[in-house]
Amino acid sequence: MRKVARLARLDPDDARVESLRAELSAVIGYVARVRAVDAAGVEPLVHVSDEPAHLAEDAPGPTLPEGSAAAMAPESFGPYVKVPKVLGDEGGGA
Amino acid sequence: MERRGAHQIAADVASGSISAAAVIDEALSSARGIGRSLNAVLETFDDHAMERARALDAARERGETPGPLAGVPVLVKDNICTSVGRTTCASRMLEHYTSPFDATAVARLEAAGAIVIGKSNLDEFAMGGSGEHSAFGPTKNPWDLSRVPGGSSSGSAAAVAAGIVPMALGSDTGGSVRQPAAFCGVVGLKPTYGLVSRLGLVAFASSLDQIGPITRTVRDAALALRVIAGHDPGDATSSRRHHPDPLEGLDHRVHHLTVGVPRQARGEANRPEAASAFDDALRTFAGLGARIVDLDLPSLDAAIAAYYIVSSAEASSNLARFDGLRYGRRAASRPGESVESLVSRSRTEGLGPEVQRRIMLGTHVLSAGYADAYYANALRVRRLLKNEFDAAFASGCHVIATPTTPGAAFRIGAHDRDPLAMYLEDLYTVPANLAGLPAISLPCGVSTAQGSALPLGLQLIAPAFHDAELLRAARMFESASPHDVLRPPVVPAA
Repeated sequence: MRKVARLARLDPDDARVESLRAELSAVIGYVARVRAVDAAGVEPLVHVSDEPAHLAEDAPGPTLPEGSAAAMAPESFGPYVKVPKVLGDEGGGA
Repeated sequence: MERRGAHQIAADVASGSISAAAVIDEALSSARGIGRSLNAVLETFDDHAMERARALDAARERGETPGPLAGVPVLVKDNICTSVGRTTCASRMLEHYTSPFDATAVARLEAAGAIVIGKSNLDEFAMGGSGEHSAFGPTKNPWDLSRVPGGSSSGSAAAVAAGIVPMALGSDTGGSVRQPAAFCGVVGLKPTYGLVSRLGLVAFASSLDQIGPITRTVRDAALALRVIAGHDPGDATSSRRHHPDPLEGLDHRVHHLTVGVPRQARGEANRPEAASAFDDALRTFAGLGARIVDLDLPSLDAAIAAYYIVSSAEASSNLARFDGLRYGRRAASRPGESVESLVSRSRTEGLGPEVQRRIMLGTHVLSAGYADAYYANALRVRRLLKNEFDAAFASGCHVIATPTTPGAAFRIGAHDRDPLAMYLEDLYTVPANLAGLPAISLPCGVSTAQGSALPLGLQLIAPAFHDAELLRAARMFESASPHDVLRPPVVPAA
């Protein structure tokens, strides 16, 4: 549970880990029935569309107004998103 | 004015027999009153909506032709972006988030003259089938306030059922439009995957998500679809295929209608009220001259398992963007804390228990050593299911019928300690998403088996891009059914 939580970037406390263990065990036990289906040789269906993918023309188009992306962030500095120190002694883990 | 349909409002506003301002004023007041007491409405856009209504009236007076949805008040599920107000996804993570743009479906509604009066409640990030998993509290069912309205488009369905608006937008990843429509006694349409642009719909499971309308009548569903459907270069999965106008010929019966019924639709999963309403619905179709044929779709038995693997896997990836850095809520940083720790704490504080459960499930089924056993096998089941649907349609079925849900709305809190039991309620709705097919839920009865009167839904599923024919079959049923316009007996006072 702790390993999956770390991969999911979640930090549940001990009590929550225990309740998640019980809830997810039941769900994983149920969904495991996909392993019992006789599907050998069946191509996985990732996406239902049968239309060819269209690449967008490589040309400039409209963009969000300057500063609107930074305005969505919890902390910003002018038109920039402010984040904690990533490189150096204390960061680098993300 | 309360129970007027969208097409009627638009006609009356266009003719000048009523002003858009009067329609919108009444809808806003109802949204603030009944809407808040059902906890169906998270925010109303009073100034914006009244301003648009007055502008529309002025334009009409100048002789301009109003659009097909002139003056129709609409509520939008709060996981669909609006440039007015907030788009919270009913999550603490996005409690204060404002979108810099309108979703394409919203922009198209407004271009057609509809007026967005506010945002409706939902299960957080559209994950849930009851309306209970909102960070802003559960929505209540207008038929019985102690029961869930269904989800995840809980507020949209409850608001339409309560007569606040004749039309609302929802999103449907595994039944989130159809199941609440069934529980609230209204019409819910999930269009073919790719028919309606997902631009501006906050992604839950991108290969399954589709925006759809909730209305009281099939005609209004067709009207909404006509406006919001069509290619959008802003969504790479948006179809370029020609699609017929769903309003044209809506009242023409489907010739030699053949209705397929999978054996599971009459199975032991159904509670008695759903089983009997479904039998009645099939009799209604038979009375219309339809041929009812039994179908064997064996992969339906694995559909819920495949759905919860695929949708959770996609959710774990899509929701990785909510890191507390670029959007939404950031935990108070601690001195010297790593970015990773800050991200984990922000997500743990900002995301609710059901969302965290799905992200954990999705992360697990995609993790090294499990991805082939779970994720790849789920996608193989998805292929088999789609092939079985294709074969059923190729054999002559126009639509496939099932109950929308295995029973009527359950009590708030009934599945609190058992998420799996809640997931199993989705057995009839998830297959259409896995296969990308259009599906609709229609009112097909009212049960009093549990004390209060509770509506039940009939689901019809059609081949991909046969949305117009699906609506015609639905219209046939509606016109022959006494349940076409249900009205909740209990609408709480404001």
